[in-house]
Amino acid sequence: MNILRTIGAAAALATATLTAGAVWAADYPSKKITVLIGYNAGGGTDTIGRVLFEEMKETLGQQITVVNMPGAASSVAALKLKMAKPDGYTLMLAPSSAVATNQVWNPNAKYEVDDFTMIGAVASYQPAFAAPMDRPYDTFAEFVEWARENPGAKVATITPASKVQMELVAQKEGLELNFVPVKGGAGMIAGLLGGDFDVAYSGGAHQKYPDQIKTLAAAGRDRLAASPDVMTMDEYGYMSSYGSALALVGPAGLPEDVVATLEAALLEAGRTESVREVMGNLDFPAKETGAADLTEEAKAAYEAELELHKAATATN
Amino acid sequence: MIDAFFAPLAAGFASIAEFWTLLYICFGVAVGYTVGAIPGLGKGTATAVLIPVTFYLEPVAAIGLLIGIAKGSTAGSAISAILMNTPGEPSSAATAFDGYPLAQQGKAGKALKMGLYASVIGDLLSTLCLIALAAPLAQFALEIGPVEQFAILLFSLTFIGALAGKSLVKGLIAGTLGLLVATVGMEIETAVPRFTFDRLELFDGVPLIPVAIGMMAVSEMMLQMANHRALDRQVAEIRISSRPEDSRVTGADWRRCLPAIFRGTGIGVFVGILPGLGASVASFMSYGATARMSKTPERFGKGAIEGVAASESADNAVVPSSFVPLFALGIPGSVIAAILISAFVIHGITPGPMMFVEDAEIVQSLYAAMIVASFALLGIGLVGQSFFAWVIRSPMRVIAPAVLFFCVIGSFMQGGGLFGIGLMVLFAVLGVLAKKLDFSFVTFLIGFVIGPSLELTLRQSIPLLDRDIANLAQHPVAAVFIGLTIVLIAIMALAEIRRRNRASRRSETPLSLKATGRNT
Repeated sequence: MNILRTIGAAAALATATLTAGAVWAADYPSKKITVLIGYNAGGGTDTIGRVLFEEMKETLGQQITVVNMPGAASSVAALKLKMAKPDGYTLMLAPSSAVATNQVWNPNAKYEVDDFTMIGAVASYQPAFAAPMDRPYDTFAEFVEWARENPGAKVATITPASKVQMELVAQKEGLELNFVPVKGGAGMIAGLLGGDFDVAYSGGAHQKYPDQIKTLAAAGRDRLAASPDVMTMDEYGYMSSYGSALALVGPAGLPEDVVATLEAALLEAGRTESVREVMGNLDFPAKETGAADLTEEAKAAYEAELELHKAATATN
Repeated sequence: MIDAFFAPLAAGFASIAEFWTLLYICFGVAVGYTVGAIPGLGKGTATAVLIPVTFYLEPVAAIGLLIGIAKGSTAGSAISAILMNTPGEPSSAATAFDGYPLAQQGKAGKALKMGLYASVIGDLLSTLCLIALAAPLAQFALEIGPVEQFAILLFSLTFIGALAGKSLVKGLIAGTLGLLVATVGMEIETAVPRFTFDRLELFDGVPLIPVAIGMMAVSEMMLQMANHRALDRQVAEIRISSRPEDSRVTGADWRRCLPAIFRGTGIGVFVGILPGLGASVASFMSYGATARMSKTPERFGKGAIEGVAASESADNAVVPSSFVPLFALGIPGSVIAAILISAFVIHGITPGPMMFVEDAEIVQSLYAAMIVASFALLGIGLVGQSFFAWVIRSPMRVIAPAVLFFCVIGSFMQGGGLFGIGLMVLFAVLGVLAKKLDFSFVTFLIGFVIGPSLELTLRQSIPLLDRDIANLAQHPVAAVFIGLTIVLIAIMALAEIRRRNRASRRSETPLSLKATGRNT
């Protein structure tokens, strides 16, 4: 079954590349490009996107329209993209986790990594575990000790993956934690500033408050660009989640030369001063990833998240 | 103190006293007012379209334009709510409860003007609060944690009692159904989808606009079109009343509405500074509170002018006050504040406490721009209303299909495409049944609007209180509100029991039958 599907996909890909490639080779893009963004206007992804596309418009010589399609952490937009024609005129800007790991947690996100063509990424997200400044611990190890002596520490999580991460810590160390669900970054920051939470998962917005919020650990595999001295969860001996990048994605079977054109335009736009400035203001560290690397990363992220999911279901 | 307040503001006014800046602010208000009045086009659409335009503007002009859209659309959405029973923005759904009955009584002019005045007063007072008290208000907002928010939301559910109409039990049933519909969507902690029937569109909950449009406007049109004779009578009724006092706001109206406006402004400011609740919660809370405090709650839903004032003052007051956490802490308090963050960042300003130090001049200019926008709203609103008056001059046979057309467009745009239209039809059928069986769709919508925030804060409160109700002692504000809720419910229950006793004595029906039987 699996082999059949792979062969089928490969065949479809080959046909699509052959037929489409021949037609589109020289004149792409010849009309307006639509980019789906799976969040409301005004979020980090949307803001960077709008500046990014201003620059890409110059290089590509075509208009780029943004369509905001919020829902289920970009999964609604991803499903829409999956159904789009792979001609390079419908794309999506999203955290790579939207196409790589959402489907692990959300049974209705009915797609696989292979349903998409990775084009490239210009920035990385900075997930971390953070705490209010007045708490007596400064590192994640100190927090674990504190939580052992003070059962019922309040842990705020946004994503299911971040909750599983902390559950695994609690299980390993025999901690008694109180999990507080939070919707979105604004509630998270308000809770940290108000001192309601002892530890909170943050997508990166907490970096703007160095006087009120401290970073205990990087939640992803890599250390944070904003605080390189803070150790990762891996380094503390716990499970890290896979990092996510701000990626431009197309439907499966996008012709190679279209990918190459878009990849070059995207990475070039990512290097411009205006984009760098906006990314700096939003605490998105610039990190270039090409199409090939991004595809590898997305697949690795999927496998890693699947493991996290298995560990979580094993405990419950 | 007074000097410290006015001197920077004067500098701000001086810096925006330039033709193009003022023009962009007024342009924003005008665009906002228009898109707000047209169901289907919201401030979200307008700002998304105009953000690229603001790339080429000075920061103050750009942000003034966006603030103008926010203020204008919040006020403009009252027009379609009053004239067509179709709220242009979710937060104006509560305006339609009494605004549309007023329009049917020939008092559309009065309702529109009162709505606009309430919007402008709420907006201006809230802007002044932002200017004078941003930092202390933001600090206060941080003290109102999830536990306190839960207690306040719970308290606001008791407003259902005042809005239930003839039957408290039916009102409670409708309110509970609203809470039930609010649970649709992804469960917050485990991401388990609830009642979504595998529809991805329902993952973030049932969208408010198709529900409100379906229950209010479409069901109304269906009932009217089902009865041709009544339709022809409607034609006569919907016309502007010949009495001049029905088209303007009289002194008696002001006396009725001013308390509602001030209460609405207070509620709007309070809700705005708390991230995540939003303008709809504020307008429903304010509407409910006004009905609750009214000596004649039975007038609500049948054309009580203070209902319009309560809802419109509250939702417009949310707009400036939702900038309090944005300016003071860098946290967006509303969707429009989130869009503003994007505009700030694009123009190289990082919203947050440092803004007052690093970009003090821009902050002053923005404050001045916001005050200008409030007054522009008044002027543009008065002019705009005479434009929209054609709606009331048209015969009902023309209005009904046009309203249905806008209903469909609005549901399509803000409900996730065709799915939104399906949802609208479903809730239109429910709305017809509710009206025929005399269930209140007002209490349904209150439950539906407050439900998601209520659930989230309850789920947060339980772990924050360490699963022990005794810990409520550490949250005195929450304890007081929960106490008030219990007292209010007890009072309502006693009143209901007494009413039934009286009724049964009068009709000499055995009490047992009356208690279990239908309650009319």
